[in-house]
Amino acid sequence: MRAGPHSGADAARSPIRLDLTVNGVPVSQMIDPRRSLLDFLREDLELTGTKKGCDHGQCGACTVHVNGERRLSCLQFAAQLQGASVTTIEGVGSADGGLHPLQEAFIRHDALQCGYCTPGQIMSALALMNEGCPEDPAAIKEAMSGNICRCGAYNGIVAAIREVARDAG
Amino acid sequence: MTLTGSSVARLDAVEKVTGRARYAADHQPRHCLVALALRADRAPSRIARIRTAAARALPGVIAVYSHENAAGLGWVSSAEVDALGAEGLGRSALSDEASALPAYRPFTSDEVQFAGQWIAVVVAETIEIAREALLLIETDLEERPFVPGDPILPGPFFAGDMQHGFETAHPAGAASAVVDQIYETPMQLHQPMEPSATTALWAGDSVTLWDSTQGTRATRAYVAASLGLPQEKVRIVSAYVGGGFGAKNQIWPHQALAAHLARHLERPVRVQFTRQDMTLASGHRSETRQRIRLEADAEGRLCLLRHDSEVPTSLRGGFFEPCGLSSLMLYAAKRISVSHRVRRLPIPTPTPFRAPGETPGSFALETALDELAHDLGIDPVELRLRNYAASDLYHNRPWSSNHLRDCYAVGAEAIGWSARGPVPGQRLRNGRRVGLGMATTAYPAPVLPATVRLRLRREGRLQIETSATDIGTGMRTILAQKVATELGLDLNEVEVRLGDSALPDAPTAGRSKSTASVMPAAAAACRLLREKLGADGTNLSLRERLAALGHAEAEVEGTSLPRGADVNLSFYSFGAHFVEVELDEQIGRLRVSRVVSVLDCGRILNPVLAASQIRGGVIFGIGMALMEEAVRHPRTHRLLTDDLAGYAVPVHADVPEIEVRFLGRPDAAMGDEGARGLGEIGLPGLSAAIGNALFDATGRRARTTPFRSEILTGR
Repeated sequence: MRAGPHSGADAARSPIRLDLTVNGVPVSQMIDPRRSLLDFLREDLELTGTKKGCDHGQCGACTVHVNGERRLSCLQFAAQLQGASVTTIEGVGSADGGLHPLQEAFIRHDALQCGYCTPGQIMSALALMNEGCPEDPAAIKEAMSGNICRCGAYNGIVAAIREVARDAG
Repeated sequence: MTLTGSSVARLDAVEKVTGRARYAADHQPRHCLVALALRADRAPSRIARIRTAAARALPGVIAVYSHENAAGLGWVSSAEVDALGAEGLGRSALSDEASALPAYRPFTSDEVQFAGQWIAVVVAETIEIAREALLLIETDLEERPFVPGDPILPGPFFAGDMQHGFETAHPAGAASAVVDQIYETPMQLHQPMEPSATTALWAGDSVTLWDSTQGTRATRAYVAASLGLPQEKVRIVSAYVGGGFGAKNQIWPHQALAAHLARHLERPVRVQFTRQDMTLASGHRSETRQRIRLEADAEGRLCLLRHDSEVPTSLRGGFFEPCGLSSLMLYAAKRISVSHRVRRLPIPTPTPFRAPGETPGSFALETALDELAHDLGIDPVELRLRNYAASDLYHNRPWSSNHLRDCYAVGAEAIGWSARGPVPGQRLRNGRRVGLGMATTAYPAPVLPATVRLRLRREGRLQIETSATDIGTGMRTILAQKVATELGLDLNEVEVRLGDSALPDAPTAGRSKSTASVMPAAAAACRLLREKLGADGTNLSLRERLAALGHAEAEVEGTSLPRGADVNLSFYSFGAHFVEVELDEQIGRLRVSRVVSVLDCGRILNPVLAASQIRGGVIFGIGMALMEEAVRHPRTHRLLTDDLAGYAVPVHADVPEIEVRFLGRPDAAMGDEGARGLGEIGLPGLSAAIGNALFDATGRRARTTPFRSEILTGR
């Protein structure tokens, strides 16, 4: 509600070059250093499958993988990701457009309603499988509790994860 | 071939699991500008000064509007726009002096009616620049004293009398037990995962808005009125909507603002809500304070059911929580009495939130019934059976169909209700207290006219078109199932296009009416298509008939009718929730460990999708009981819980397996296949069932949501 101090603001907003890999494709682009990874993906690369639910790291809708680990892309400055490898929902599944088994399981278990949280749920669940998916449903729920689904598809999401983890194991 | 009634997978699921489904903010026209809101942090107040020069001077800022210059956009207040938007709903029920004044519309005066009100909008090239510009705006808000007015006694609202008492022939004897308690529920926030956004793109004198709304036609009417344009110049596209729950049911100023900004600036504009904006500018469920008085004879028959509610609304709005709606009709009592008192406060206008009225109302009533059952030593299910309303005593007419008693029986069996004894606090499991509770749910089954268009061409899929939205409900899927079944086609031979105001008229997705409104229109369209092609009584396929007639395509529109005024029946869905809880009393941690919900919603068109809807409602009920509470600052009225950390909603770890059972008995009086809507009915009663289970576990009664720690710990 009042003017903030802006010393050094010009430098803070001078564009910088970002080089990284997104879904296996090298990207080189000038960006506003204040730009979040989420906004970089959505606004610059038009990869709108990654969703903005809160922009504060509280909902999980923007979950992506950075160097194979799950990250909340809204809490990450794009400029911090020089040389990183980022995977988004658009990079999941086979190159010919086939679905990942987890995506198929989400459909089978009706693990989605409005679909807005779904890409984030899937990115978190995929990372969980890489981390070593627990068998105990309570442990799966704990590990997935950073991804909010307001429609209430939680039962289906857990069922889909368990099924795919079991098949993979 | 019968596809309808079967659990085919959600038709848009592939788009949703791949991220290809495009929501409002995912449409990014070239050279699109970003608009962000600056909001007041105190009310009532007056904007004594607003300085925007520094913000305007920032490179990349295109414009800043406030009350001082927004009239230049053609942005004015009008009674017509008020009536079409969220601020208008309920004003006629209140009909006090304030209802006759212009409703809140941002940027039309220096008056601040609520904390969270828009006071400026910044339009910039990028999100980062817009954010920086917001920080450069200097405002001086002068606080004004708030003088509460007298409570308003509203007239009829949501098809129910808000002040009403009547006698019935219920055979209750002399009163031998009384429950007279106050029940309170807090302000709650819808929190759909998709923050609202509106992207406006003009082409000549027409505008397209990619918007997040539950009703494309209602949004079109509002935006066109605001722009002073005929409706056909405005198109609202909402092919995917990231949840609504009521927050996107009414129309809010930002939806028109995007079109005004884009027209004036001659560039596409996206008005993007932040999570904080969602908590302030798309409505909420207000707090309620309800008094229930039950009097019953020794056998538990109700002599009196009295439900008095006190709820707020905003300084100029109209919507209030009609808590007493289900008390009017759900149970038999010798005397039934309902009242509502509404206070005006300097808060944002409340709006419908999944089962408005029924949700807080049922928490109070279903808790009070449990208290009465305990006082009388009567099983809570049995108490409800003894006061079962065999007809709608309020409207004095039969139910179209009511299998509530079977819901009780099926649910009780499924949860193992017979294990529950009359004395609370008896069961332990792994050191935790365990309890069982139950409650009734009910919700009206309205129907509105709708139109569905079918287009059959020589090549390609049969097109099914309606302006109705699919906000996660499954409308796309059941519509395809319906038409494929009626026409003997496979699902992959049809395609559904919806969520576009340019498509045929359909009601807003809210109040559990879309299925019952749109499906009969689809059936009518299918009949018309077969007639048009002369397909009945031949062995030829529709496409062969099309070729035989020499047509390139055939197009028909089927329309459903409103329910006839001569239909002397009451249409409701019913259900019973049974809940088991586990309480770790040492740390006051309450877990819902089992839920069985049994629903009587007529015929079920897709059991898996329908069960998902019910689970959603149940989870809202878990949130209501355990955690959801929005809090305002007592003096400035500013919302203190304006993010998802301050306002907790259920996460994976809070949610058990939820067992949903449908009786699935068609309601013949509904017409078509006998389906009733089920978008809301999962929620009413659920928080009471949890509280009743908590009482069974502990002997302590929760009369306030979310349940307080002293109730959970006993300390």
